[in-house]
Amino acid sequence: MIYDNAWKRADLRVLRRDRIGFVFQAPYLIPFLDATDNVALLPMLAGVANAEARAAALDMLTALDVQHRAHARIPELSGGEQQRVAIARALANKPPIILADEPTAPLDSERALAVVKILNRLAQEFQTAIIVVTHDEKIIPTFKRIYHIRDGKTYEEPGEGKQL
Amino acid sequence: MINLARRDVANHLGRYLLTGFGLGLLIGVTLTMAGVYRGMVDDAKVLLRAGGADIWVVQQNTLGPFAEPSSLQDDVYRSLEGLPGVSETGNVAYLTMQVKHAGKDLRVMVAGYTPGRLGGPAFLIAGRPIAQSHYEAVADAKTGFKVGDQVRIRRNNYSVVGLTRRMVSSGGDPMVFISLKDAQEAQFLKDNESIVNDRNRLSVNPNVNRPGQAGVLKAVEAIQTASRRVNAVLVRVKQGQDPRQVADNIKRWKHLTAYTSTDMEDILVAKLIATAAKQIALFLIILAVVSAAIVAFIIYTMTLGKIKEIAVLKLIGTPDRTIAAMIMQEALGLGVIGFFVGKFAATLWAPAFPKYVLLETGDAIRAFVITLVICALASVLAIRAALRIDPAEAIGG
Repeated sequence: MIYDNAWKRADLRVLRRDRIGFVFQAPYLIPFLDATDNVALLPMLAGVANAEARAAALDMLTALDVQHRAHARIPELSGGEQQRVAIARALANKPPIILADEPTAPLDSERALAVVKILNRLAQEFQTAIIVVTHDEKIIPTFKRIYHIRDGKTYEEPGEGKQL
Repeated sequence: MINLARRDVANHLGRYLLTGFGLGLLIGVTLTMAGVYRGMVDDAKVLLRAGGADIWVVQQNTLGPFAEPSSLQDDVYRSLEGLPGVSETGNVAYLTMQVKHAGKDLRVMVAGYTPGRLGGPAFLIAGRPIAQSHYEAVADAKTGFKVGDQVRIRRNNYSVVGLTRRMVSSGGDPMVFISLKDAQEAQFLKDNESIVNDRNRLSVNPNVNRPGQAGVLKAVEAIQTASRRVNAVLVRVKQGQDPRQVADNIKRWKHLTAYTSTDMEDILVAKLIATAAKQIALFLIILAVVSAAIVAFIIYTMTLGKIKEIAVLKLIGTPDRTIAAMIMQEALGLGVIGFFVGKFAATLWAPAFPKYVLLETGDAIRAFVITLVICALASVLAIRAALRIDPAEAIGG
């Protein structure tokens, strides 16, 4: 249970900001902000002071190994770097849940596995549940619980939770 | 909190500045139109101000020399000087005509005045005022004449002895001042053939050319060829006197029409240039509406170009007011850039206009406020569109 009161528009906004992190198939970063501010924007929206939010964002970028591109504009980043910045943004407010929609789709196998490794590591570090929707067979073994949706029917199978 | 508008603008600064520049040219045209109107009003008033008169005495039941034909005997001023409250007077005669300068036709207003009396040129920037009774002229610098040039008015050549600035008729034509006697001659001068023809007609008229009374014919001929008329008499009242009261006295006792300088301003501004002013006012309104529509379209298009970014912003929890503020700030920024470009452009091209364009600071301030209001209102449409964007569009592919 992440929310149990009546749903209001403002509540939904706060819910999306503080309780859910999003990782999309494409990074969908804000192109007119640099990498740091893309990540820092969420804490700032939550009321954290600019300097503090930027310092936290830099820490997050460091954790994802893209700190060297902290001040780069989004179009200057590679696809993998953009995806890692997007993950950093999803984790910026340390939400209890991250919804990831095909997070490895734009990446090659090596980078896709690297991203999943990062997600797993951060899930443990920040006590975050990560729900991933994917068609990528390579990464399926890394999940602990797997739900297949086929022909409108859902069935569960235990995941291997393979460590990378 | 990050200023999203500033970052967005910085991201496509060139396009933003170019849009502001385009908008600025439009605002420049609007400012210039306002300047054209102000210039017309100022042109109308400058002659009144320069004349230094408190009262304009004109032919009975006419609107004065600029709005209607007005003709007075040139000795009326003597009886006016005898009225209580009158300090000094001056006869003036005006005629609009075309003169040649450097091989080109030039439309000017010739003003005749008695040197040393009211009605002469003000704002002398070079040379000296008229000192001789004949064949000297003071021209406005806008005519292009220089001190020492010769200007031909009707049959006579006049030496330009002085130059003025901002001495124009209510229609904006530059003025050339000559002595009253010269102006009267120029105004009523007939060609030689006409004079001969008139003399022949009189000589065969038995009522005029009676046997044994040759003096009658000569007297009538003299009346026909001489001009003793002026268009108006300017009056300055004694210090402490109410011009309105003196004007009422002139109307009552002299059977003439007398306008105070305020009345004359009203005639010139409210009657003479009223239609042109309404024309410009309507054009200004249309320009303002077109500018508002263009600003609204630009801001709306700019916002639609950011649908994905706005959807992402909403999805990650950005409040509506932050998004609205971003659009509003960008719109106002565009207005500020547009205004300064427009002001600069209008200042740059105003001197190139053939008529005086007066760019008043008050108009500029009003234009600035109106621009900001239009930009703010125009952004409302874009803000509405932005707030309707579904956050789900961010992940909609």
